Amino acid sequence: MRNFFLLKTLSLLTVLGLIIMCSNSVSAEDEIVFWTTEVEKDRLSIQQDIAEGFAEKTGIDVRIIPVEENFLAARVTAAYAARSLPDVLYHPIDFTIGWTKAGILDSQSSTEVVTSLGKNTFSPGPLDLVRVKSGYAAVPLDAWGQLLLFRKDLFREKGLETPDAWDRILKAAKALNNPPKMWGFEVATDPGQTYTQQVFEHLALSNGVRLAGRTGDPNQEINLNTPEMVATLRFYKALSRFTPPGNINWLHTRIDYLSGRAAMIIWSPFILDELSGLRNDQPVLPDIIKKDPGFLARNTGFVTVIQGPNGSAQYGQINCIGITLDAARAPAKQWVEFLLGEGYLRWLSMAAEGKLPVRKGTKVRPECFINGWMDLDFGVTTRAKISRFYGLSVAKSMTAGVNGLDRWGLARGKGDLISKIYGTKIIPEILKRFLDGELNAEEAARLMDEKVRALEDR
Amino acid sequence: MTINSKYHRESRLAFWMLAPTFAVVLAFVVFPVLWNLWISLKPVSLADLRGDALFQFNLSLDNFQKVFSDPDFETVLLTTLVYTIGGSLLSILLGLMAALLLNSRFLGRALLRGLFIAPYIAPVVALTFTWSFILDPQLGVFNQFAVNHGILAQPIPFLSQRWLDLDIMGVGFRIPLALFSVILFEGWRYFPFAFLFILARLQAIPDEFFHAASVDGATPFQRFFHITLPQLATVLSTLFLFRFIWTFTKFDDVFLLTRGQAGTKVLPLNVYDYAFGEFNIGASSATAMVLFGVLAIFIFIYFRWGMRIDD
Repeated sequence: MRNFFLLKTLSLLTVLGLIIMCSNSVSAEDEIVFWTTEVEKDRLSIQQDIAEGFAEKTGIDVRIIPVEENFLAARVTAAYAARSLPDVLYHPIDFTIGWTKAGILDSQSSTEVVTSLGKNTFSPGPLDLVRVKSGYAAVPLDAWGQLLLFRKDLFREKGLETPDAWDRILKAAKALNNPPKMWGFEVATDPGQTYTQQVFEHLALSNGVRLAGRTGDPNQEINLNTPEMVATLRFYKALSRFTPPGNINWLHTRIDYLSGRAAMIIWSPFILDELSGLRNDQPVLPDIIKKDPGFLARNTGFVTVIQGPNGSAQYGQINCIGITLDAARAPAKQWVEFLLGEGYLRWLSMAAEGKLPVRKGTKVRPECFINGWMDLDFGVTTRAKISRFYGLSVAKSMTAGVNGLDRWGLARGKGDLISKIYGTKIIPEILKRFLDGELNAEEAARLMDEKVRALEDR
Repeated sequence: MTINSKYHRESRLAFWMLAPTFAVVLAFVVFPVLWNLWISLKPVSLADLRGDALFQFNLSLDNFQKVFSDPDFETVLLTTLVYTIGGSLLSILLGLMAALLLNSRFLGRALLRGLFIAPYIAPVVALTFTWSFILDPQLGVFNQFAVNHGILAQPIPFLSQRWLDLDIMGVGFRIPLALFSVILFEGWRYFPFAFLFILARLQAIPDEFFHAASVDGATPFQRFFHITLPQLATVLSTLFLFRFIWTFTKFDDVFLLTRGQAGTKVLPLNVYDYAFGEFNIGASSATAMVLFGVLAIFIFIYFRWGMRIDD
């Protein structure tokens, strides 16, 4: 009786164990797993299309797993511990270097892909940002550069200059500020949002604050406690006087700009389709009031590179595609090459306004992806070509800007800190305490420096 | 002899019948705690999750030192305690009031009882999203309404402002606004839990007590304080125990409402930030052990001295 029970228990456990073991190894030889943070339904169906094209060509199936960007770090950590990493991983550059150092991404495979596609077919800027000692940590796939949007019509009325430098921005914000009807410059003030880090980092970079070392002085120690940082903090606080109270995040600035209540905001190019009135769920009030569709879009100017007293920069986000150390290397590499080749324009078409080509063309046709991108449609409810809506010069300056996109820490040996800074959101937190008057500029700069150094410790 | 063997057989049977429960508790309670303790004593970062680094014997108190030397640690611990005690008491108080309201017979009582459960069973993501949208100072309906009708001079950022200066009849004081809002949310969301327990107990109080008291001329307040409350004492103290434990380890509500900003950072958020913000899994486990330790102390005090009221 007792032995029988034991036997039963043991056999049950064995079966369970077998099931668990099997589920780990069911993936077939000619299937690769691809994690993507492009999780919206229409974007997923485009990716499915690309994967089907790839399967037809090579006979390799791609299983697409959508992962929300917010949960990416946690999911990858768990998958790494459980030895169930995907073969290929689409992710923001924030994680690239850290994951390579942790042994999740395989820089050798990525370097081989870059070499085989041709290093010169890429914009050199983004490639530099993913450079590690042994080559490239991952392959840059698409990018966007953060924009300063301003009301050209209001600037013209008051005879103001294009707000591409700190003093001009401040002057214009002061001149146009007329709350609550019109806010001069809406900066991000929500301490819990990545957006705040992005806006602040853009302005900090434009004043030469670079996390480690100063401009042109690579591989130095962390250095946020600088006169440049203090000046950036003061500038930010000056701008926040032309911002509504409360925690302002990306939703507020977008709504206020689109309803004609903000003269200047900083936003990613994803705003372009709402701005053009191509989305029905997001009315553009100035267009409606003037009974002139496209009024706001025509009267919006774009600044890409902001000029500060000690430098100039455009903040950018680059999304990379990484091959993991667990991957079936040959098919994974083929998939990445396909995404950057035959499937590339289709990939960019998922959201053309926020997916600028990082690879300019092929070895044979060096500009084909740039030109192809100009012809892509964008917009949700209705669609139009970017180059037609905003003019060729805006489109060209956007694609050309990809090469100069800048970020804290990358390309100077501190890339693994980026994901920690973004993950803990300590910069926005301290910034908010400074804006609320709890800390003065010097204290805030010192605290930022201290906290970031503490992140580096381990 | 026969009695003895029957006794043995029965105790063996009892053992086997308890074994599954015991195995589950071992696998899902005891083992994780021990494993967490083990990890908290080792340097574990992302790269150590594979290979044999996890099993090496290199124990140290470094993680605990890091956790305790964080300049914000005391503030966070204090916030956690205020949040836990405030949230627990408020939810019990609201639950008590709701239970007293719905104890007597009236038309539509069943429907109301059902509605009162809503905050407890609705998905937390939907609730936090709705509340942060209602309370938003720029876009929210509450502030819009209050400002338009002259109730407020300017919008109040309930979830994003650390301090609110109040001036009531010439006496000025400041309240931690965001923390206050989060505690209110906590009290509102979990009052149905207390409500259910208290209502069940209320219905078990014999009517004779109240009749007798009425005959003696006791006022409603006297009846409440001398009959209802003593009868509820056990259930109230049990509720406080549960609510304290669950609120102390609560992560999602605060995370979704404020992400720990504006003075609402609680220890469970630190656990998350260490693990998935800094990828410092060792420090994260150490913080979890601190939570465990504080709870252990609380439960010890509770059973050693708190339960006396029942005697």
